[in-house]
Amino acid sequence: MSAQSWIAAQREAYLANAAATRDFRVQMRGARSVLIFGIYLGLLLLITYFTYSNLAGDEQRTLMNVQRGLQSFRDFTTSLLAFGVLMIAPALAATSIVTERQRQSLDLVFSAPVTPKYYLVGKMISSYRYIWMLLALALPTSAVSVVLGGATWYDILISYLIISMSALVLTAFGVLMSTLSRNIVPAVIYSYVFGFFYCAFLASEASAESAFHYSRDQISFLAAASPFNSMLAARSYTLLGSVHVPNWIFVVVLSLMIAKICLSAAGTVLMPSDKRLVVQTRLHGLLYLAIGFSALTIVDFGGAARHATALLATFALFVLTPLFPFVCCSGYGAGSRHYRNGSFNVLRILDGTPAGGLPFLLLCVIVSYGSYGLVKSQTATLDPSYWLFGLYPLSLWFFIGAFAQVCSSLAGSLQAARTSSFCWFLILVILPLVCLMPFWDSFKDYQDVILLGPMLDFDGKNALPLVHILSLSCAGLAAVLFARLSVTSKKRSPA
Amino acid sequence: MLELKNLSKSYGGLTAVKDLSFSLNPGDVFGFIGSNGAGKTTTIRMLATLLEPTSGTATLNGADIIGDPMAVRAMLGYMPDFFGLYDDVKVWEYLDFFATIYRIAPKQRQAVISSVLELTNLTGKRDAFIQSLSRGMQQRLCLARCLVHDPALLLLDEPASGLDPRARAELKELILELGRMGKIVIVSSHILPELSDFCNTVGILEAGDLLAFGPVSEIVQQIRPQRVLRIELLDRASDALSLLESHSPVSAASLVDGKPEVRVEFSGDLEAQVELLAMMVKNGLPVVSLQEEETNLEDVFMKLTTGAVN
Ligand SMILES: Nc1ncnc2c1ncn2[C@@H]1O[C@H](COP(=O)(O)OP(=O)(O)O)[C@@H](O)[C@H]1O
Ligand SMILES: [Mg+2]
Repeated sequence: MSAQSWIAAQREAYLANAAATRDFRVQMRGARSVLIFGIYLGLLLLITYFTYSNLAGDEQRTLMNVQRGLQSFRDFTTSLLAFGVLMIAPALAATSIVTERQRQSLDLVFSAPVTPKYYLVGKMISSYRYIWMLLALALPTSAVSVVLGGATWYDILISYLIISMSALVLTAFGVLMSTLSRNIVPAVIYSYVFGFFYCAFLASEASAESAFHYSRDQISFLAAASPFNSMLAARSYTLLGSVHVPNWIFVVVLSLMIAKICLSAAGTVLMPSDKRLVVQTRLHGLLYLAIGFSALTIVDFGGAARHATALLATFALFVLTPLFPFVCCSGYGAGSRHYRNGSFNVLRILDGTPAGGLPFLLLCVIVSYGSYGLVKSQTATLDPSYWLFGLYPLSLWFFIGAFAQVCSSLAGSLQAARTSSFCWFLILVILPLVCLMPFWDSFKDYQDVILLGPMLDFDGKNALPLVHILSLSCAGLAAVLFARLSVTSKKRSPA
Repeated sequence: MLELKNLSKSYGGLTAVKDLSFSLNPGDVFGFIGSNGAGKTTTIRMLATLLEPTSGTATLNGADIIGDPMAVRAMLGYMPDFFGLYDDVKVWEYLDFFATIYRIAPKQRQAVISSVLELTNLTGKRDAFIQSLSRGMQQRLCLARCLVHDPALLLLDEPASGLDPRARAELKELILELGRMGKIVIVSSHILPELSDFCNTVGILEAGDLLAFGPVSEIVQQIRPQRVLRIELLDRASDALSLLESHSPVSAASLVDGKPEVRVEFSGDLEAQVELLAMMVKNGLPVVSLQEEETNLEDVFMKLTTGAVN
């Protein structure tokens, strides 16, 4: 493709997107939009007024108190705004494609010379533009903080940018869920669940860091990405060598990467016949994993090196959890690409067929864990146990992927395989952790019994979780063999 | 030119379309006939590049549906058996959307929209909301959408279902016009009379097999090498019957209930038909008229498909 036609294609997709134009006309039609925006604005002003008058009614008006009051007012209103926007984003995005599928209008679009990317970008723009309209409408309330002191326009704009980046990630994921679902309800639910976990994860990172950082300018870009922290984060930076890099740049790059990979994945769902799209998406995914995990080396997790490896495994968990049902499951129902074609075939690692699922999952672990280690070892001496500890996430994901194969061999359809493997994942891997968390102190000694035990080893015992590695590998191997046998016996049975 | 080469599709164990091979030329209006579940929609969706064939392929003016789907898409208009219309969108906006994704230059869009609206007789509805249109108008709007980019191939899946006779007649006119414009038009239906009078080629599909393909008259010949003659007499019908039964090109003859008329299944050509008449007159039979019974596609279809089931 020549540079010129590339530019023309980008311009078409981003600036003159037909889907976005059509949705815009509908969004802006008639009294409805005026009503929605009116109510929204009214609510914002009302809340601002009440919080402000509460603060202003404070009896002891020392300068300190007033300043603190203004600051907390400012933080409160932006958090509120973030909350409002993030409640709306998944709902907007999650309905975007699935309603078209139900109306059966997707076929019309994709019998035209339209790439999935073009259409998805259009849908993204439709939802995301709405978010920015809501943010712009909230400007007057935020302006109060500027006028009364406590924030500058720079702070406000950057904090809006950070909020909008969270919204971008949630929107992209909503669009992905929307392409995967056949009904609106699951699409909306999954989008909210993801949105919740994403925000909760960033917020917990932010609060963890505030525990060991003195200056709030030096929070990491992960903490700065938290939408509820956006005012604090606006001026924060990361020291790269001697350069002060504002954190919002990291946040933008990170969010764009997540959004891009979500849309690429959605594209492979919309156009399953395009094999190149799958390969491209997987390569991009691996690249972004490498970039993302390299960037994590900048983050000071504020603990022992051992602690960092545990955290890394946790990150991998976050990234791979939504991925594995789609990568590892096989079955009838969504095109021949997902028919079972073996249990472990390295040659299929990029083409999106089930035989390549397990190797791809392991490759993801290797890339994320490896890139962190490689980059980190350039600047610091790694704990010698680091590389050996990598065997633990490998064996864990080997087991999970193999288990998905078992679910696939027992389930009737691809959909059922994905759902059941994800449910079993929750029951076997996540649920024990959640149940035992409240009794943390008394159960610490028995943490080995749960699969995620080694990730919780924040005390830095530094012992290699050999029991876990061995038992997970053996169980994974057994699962692969079981899946294989049950498929062959199914084939032989007369039905 | 559209060429199907051993196009097949199976879903798991079920083969929905088996080894379809035929070709169509510009100007052909092809009636694709089959009962429900015969595989018409599956075939059409494969041609529309929406469904991947299990094996085989098809080419449209040299572009392969698997190898170069984007080129094929630029040349085809696909109208599914559902409308897929949007609410809250105006007629011209709907067409503008499709004109944009078919890459019509912004300057030409309004002109293109006007011309397809005129062709489909919707000019007055340009600013109406889609949901306010009648079913027939919505159907025509769908067709208008398929025409914005002047496609070489039109795939119309059951376009007449749910339309009243008047809308049906209008649609038929429109399709004929499109054929005259030099497009390849594929129209599927499970109701035969709908297609028999305006398609110049038909194909009959049953359980994924193409049972017959060709011009309407040829298919009729192929299925029924025998013509049916009705010979009306003043009286003496039973004499005529016994005479005809002994005549060689006649394979079967029967009396028509309540009338002095004989129904003859006849395998001879037109000259033999003249001879038959002369022979009857020579034998003093009072022949009033001799008529060939119209064979319609419905009969052919019934005969073919029941044959396939048995
Ligand atoms: N997505 C699908 N999965 C499984 N079977 C299908 C699917 N789509 C169609 N079929 C089957 O393929 C056959 C042909 O269907 P179709 O092409 O829709 O027939 P027609 O349009 O002629 O009524 C039917 O037996 C139908 O049940
Ligand atoms: Mg059909």
